Amino acid sequence: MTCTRSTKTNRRIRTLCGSVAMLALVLAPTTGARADAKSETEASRVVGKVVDEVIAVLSNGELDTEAKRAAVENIAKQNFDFPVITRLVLARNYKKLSEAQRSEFIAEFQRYLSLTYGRRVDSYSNQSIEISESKSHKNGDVTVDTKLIGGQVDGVIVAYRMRGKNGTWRAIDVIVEGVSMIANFRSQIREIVSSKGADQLIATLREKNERDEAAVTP
Amino acid sequence: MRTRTFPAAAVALTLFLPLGLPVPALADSDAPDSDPFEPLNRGTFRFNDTFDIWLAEPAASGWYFVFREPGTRHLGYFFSNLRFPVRFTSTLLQGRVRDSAEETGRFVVNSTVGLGGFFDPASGWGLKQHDEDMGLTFGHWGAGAGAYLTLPLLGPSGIRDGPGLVLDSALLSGPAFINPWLGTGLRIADALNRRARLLNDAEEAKESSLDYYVFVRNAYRQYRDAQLGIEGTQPEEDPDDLYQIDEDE
Repeated sequence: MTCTRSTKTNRRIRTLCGSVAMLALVLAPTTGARADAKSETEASRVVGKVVDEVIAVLSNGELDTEAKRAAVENIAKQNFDFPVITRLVLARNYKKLSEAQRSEFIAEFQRYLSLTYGRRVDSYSNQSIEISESKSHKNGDVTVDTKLIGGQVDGVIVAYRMRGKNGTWRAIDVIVEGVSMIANFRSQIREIVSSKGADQLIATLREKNERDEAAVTP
Repeated sequence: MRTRTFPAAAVALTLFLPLGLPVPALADSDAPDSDPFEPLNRGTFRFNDTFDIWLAEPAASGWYFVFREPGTRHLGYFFSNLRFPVRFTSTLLQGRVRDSAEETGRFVVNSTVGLGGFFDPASGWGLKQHDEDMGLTFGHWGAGAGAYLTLPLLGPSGIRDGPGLVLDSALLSGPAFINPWLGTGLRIADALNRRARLLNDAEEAKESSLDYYVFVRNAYRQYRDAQLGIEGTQPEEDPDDLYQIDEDE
């Protein structure tokens, strides 16, 4: 930059540079903050909408367990970015999997998630959920905090890490009281792959799913 | 398996700590998956799990059957009120005088208006609880988590939090001075009540994990880090890296 030169002839340039710099100083944080604020509003809105939809399903007395499970699974499919989640939980191990193993893992992992969270639909007892703070991250993600109210889980903070892609915000992690599900899963997967190998990871997941499915369907 | 106050085991632990732990093994033990004592820890974990399956969980189920949801919640308030010395001392030792004063206010209000601590009117009056303990106090002054440890009966802990537990336990020995049986009885009842409040969660965690031991280890470390305000539990990586997809490795 020429702004450091200090001859008389360059005074104009200096003034110009100065004002540009001033302008940049004033604008940069505000435009950044404005973009963050817009993302945060949008991400919070999506979380709020999803939470309302899920509560509407869970508190619907006319639906049986299976119908509730299917409805919640459907909401999850639309609002969680499963391809990203799969990549994040596998982390470095993604490269160790062959193409066939990857697609097998994705299928089993989705089945696992829907079985695991499906079991929980009956534990709902009129809790409500309050959307509280949201926070922007350097990479553009937004974390939206929600607070559970009522029952045994009263006061528990559940945060959703949201990622926007082409204007659509989807959850990529659920963080319960500071415990990230992605980080937790990643560490379990790392342990299994390093001690038993990638094949064993998929086998463990499949066996588990089959056992769980047998337990669900009478 | 979060039965955190069991004096005998905690004292036994401090006796074994200086004897059993080779110092070099503690280096670089803050990484989230670092677990130099994993074989030993897994052994203790299996013991704890067996203890839980055959004794703690059935006893806690019985406890829940008797006291139910409002009962166990109010008993939880009662035991939590008794833990006041731990929160008071820990906030004070962290230099958080306001918070320790707030804890004192809570203790006075809940012990009197809250009928011996069974109710929690203080929260309604805007007096906030600060869940601090000695392990977190060591952490506040810069102590790293250290190697992960599974303690017999007490569950997940670590080089920093283990001694913290011993000090917590000492701070809670008031009732034992009145009557040793009262002290022990209160601790067992507290542990049972905690376990009873976790019946579904513990079962769910066990069922949903691929490796229950790793699930607990990781969840414990993340939880403690979050309590200390440390973001991201991957010290070897940037917190944001957890959410970064490796494209070229």
